[in-house]
Amino acid sequence: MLMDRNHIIQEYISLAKSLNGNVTIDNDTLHIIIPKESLVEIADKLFNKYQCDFRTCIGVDERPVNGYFSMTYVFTDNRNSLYLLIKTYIDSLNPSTPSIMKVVPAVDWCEMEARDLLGIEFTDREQYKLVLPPGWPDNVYPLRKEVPYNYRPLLRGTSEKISPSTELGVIPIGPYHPALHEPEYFELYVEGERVIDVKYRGFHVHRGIEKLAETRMTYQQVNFLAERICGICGFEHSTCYALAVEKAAKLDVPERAQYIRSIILEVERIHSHLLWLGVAFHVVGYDAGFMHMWRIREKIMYLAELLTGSRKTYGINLIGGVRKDINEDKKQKTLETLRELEKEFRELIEIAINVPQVKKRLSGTGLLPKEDAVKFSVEGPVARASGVNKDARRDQPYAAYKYTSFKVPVYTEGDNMARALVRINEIFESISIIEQLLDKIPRGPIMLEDFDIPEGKIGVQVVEAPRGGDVHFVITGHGKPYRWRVRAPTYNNIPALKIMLKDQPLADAPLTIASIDPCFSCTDRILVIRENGKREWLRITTGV
Amino acid sequence: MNFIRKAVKPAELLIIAGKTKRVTVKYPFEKPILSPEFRGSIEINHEKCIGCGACVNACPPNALEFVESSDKRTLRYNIGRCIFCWRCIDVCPVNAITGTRNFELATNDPLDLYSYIVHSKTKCTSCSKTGETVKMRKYIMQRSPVTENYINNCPDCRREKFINALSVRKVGFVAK
Amino acid sequence: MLLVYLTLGLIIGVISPVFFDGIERKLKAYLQSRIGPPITQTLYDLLKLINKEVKPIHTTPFIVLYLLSFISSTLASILMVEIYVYTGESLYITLGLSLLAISLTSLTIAPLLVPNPFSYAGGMREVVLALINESAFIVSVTMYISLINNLLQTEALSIPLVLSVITITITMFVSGYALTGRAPFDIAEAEPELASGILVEFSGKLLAAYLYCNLLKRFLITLITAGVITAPLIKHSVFSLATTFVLTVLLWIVFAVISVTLGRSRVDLAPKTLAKTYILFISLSITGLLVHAYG
Repeated sequence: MLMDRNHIIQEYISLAKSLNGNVTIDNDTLHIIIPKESLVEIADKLFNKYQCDFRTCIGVDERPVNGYFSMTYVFTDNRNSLYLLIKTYIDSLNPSTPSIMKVVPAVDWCEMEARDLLGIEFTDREQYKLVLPPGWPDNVYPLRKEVPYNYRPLLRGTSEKISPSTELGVIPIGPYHPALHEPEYFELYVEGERVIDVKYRGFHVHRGIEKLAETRMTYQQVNFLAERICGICGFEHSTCYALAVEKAAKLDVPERAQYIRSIILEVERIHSHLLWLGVAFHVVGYDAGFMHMWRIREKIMYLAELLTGSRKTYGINLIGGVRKDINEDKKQKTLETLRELEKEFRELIEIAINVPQVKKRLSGTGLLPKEDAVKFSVEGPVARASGVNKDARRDQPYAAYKYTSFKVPVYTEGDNMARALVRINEIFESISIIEQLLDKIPRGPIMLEDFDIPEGKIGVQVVEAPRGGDVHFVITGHGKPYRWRVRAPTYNNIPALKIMLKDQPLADAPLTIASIDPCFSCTDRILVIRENGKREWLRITTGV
Repeated sequence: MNFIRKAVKPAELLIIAGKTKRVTVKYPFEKPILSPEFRGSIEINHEKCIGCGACVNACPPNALEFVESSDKRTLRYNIGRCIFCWRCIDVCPVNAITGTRNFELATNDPLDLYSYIVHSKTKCTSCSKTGETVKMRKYIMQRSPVTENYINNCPDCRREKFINALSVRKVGFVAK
Repeated sequence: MLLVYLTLGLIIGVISPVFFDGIERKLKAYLQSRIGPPITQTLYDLLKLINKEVKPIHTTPFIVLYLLSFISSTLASILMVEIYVYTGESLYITLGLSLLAISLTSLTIAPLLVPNPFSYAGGMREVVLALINESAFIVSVTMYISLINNLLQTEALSIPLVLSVITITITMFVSGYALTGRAPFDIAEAEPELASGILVEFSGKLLAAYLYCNLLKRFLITLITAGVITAPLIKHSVFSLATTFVLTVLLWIVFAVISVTLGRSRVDLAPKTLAKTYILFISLSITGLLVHAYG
């Protein structure tokens, strides 16, 4: 469906107009305000007819401003680099809106999150508690503006067990498990060694980040908070936040700063993929591969420290630019490191992928067909391994990516091997991107001096993190964001795990879970909770 | 032939291992490799610090905080909260904060995590309310021409004094 | 004199596995470009575990009984193998192998007594592997001894017989390696999916005992493999015992190196591959023997 960009914009506008919508165009973003009765129809048209990509939805408490709640659904038209924000206002006394889950299945979690955190009810769908811990008081919706950010109810520890024991074997994975480095809980129902059903409970590690940014912090401080959403791909988050605010405030950031951002983003992608490969080898018991993969990763960690001042959580992003320049000396050192890295990585990966157990256990396991990948709007390597050709670096060019050329590896097998291969190819592409950027980097300042951020503007940005697209949505406020919503890629990828784990050998379950490169703490951001205390299910002596 | 080459491919790892030798170091007996750009803990110069609070405002995790008492304003640095972003160094107007490459900060006593700089506060000559630190006032006086008449007052008294002076000049008396 | 050597051998058999494991860990560390723990680390680990409290489960006494049965039969088996190496009498190796069967059975059963899904799943995997490997190992060792004696007695070099010996030696090494539970056959305690599987409910002294039993098992199997290689060649001397021990160390190291280059297999893959290999090689060996005898 190749069409002229202006033509397609006109089509979106007439679609919105036909449904009593109101459209404003802001550069690459179409703000469509629509009555809630037409919500399902427009979502259906965009998702199923125009094949727009559903990214996330955002509930906002706008009562202090205009007396309404609002829901904003973020779609992106990847072929035409367009963001479509479908916004609907919801009455504040009896907040309820039709759910679009029937037409866009991927909306499941973010609607439930809005229900938990803002108290918006969704009709025409099954509703359940997703984010808030069991025992959270009713009628306290943490993201409503009147709730203080340090509100802490007294909670009692409860069992993690999702359903009472059945005759089937139940293998619990989590909340604390040696193979998963973050707290989450999978209940695998097995017959012998075959997984037949999966249930998931996550959101154990809400850290109240969004609330914190909206209450206690300033614009520039949030950069550092955003960086701490994820321990592996934090720079993507801080860049995404900075770009979203810059977009909202229409700031013209110096080119050199954008180049530096892109370089560091790619450095982070390389280290993240190397880390993932190491973990994958560890999960299939190939520890030597794991150790050597991390040995060569150490070079890139040193490089990151040299370029930014820190191995991780680089802390060089600010709204308006970056804090650290790359001089000629560092440029040479970077090129040298990358050359070494490429050589060693090529050597090592060839050996590792030929280890019979690695090959056997990666191929054909954790299958995700393309239809399901589209249905769940999965992100990043998971999508690209299932034949969905999307990459925000190419589709929604940001920072300095428009000055580079690179291939987006796409595989159609949809198994763990394809996901591994996507990442392996991306490492080589990233190395080439950094070389191109270092070659072309323009001179000039790296920081924008003196700027204002007007209130009440909306900015939304997708940044391709190693795990997939991060989405940051910002409504500007007075000295700090009025609303800041973060969606990490794992948020969309976890629901797809259910499909990937079913009918697979139990032994490959951790590998499949690892294959989406899950980042549970990124996924669960939002809430302040007390320590949950003891968890009964951990003492499994009473057994199945 | 190809089949055999593939079958023995995993053994090539032994060659790589032989080539690279060991890469880990016997920390803490051997020093780890740090890049020259590494950001470690910060040091605040007692002499230079004027207690203006720029760092307190900029610090994302509130590692730098003011602890107020009636006549003292204490700048408290809590390494336990510090994220080593060095934003404080960027914003300090008098370059009192320097970055170090020190990262070995673990301690047995939680009190070791704190360091303090105590500033005495100025007192308003008319209402005896306390205001900014003494050093801060000195810094302002060096920077901008402020008359002795106003500088020793708190902002409230200063405003009142100014309005009074203005009304005396315009209408000849102080309006109640 | 024999008694002295045997006692000495037994003492070595009890103590050395702990240090062999230390060597294995150091070697693995070297191959993974790390410094790694000192050679005495396994000993420290066990000592530390012994001082930790045991969190008992209601089947602990039975598990302890099985472990005791394992240790006694293993030590007896080690003794038998040493006598065999010293004397060259096939009777002793037969005794040793039957004792091995008993000891392996008790070690395989122990984790099945733990009421825990992880342990149970791990235990069942161990059973599947043991069923295949144990029989293959015992068969191949017995066949190897008779074939090598045959080969040594034959004056003219018989190529079918040599081939027969080679194939059965490979079977012996592969099944011996698989029995030691190293990668890719460490599926019973697979950490990622089963949270250390069979080990999950063991703690303190019990865990120390179980880990030690595993090392003892490795030692016995390596010793048998080394013993049946030396015994027919060097008989009736102290050297035969000494050579066996040296060969045990070497084999242990070779096994350790192999395990570094491989990943972990899966319970539905490993037994199939192993069974295919064993059937192929054993039948090849029998064919060779038949060709030699009647051809």
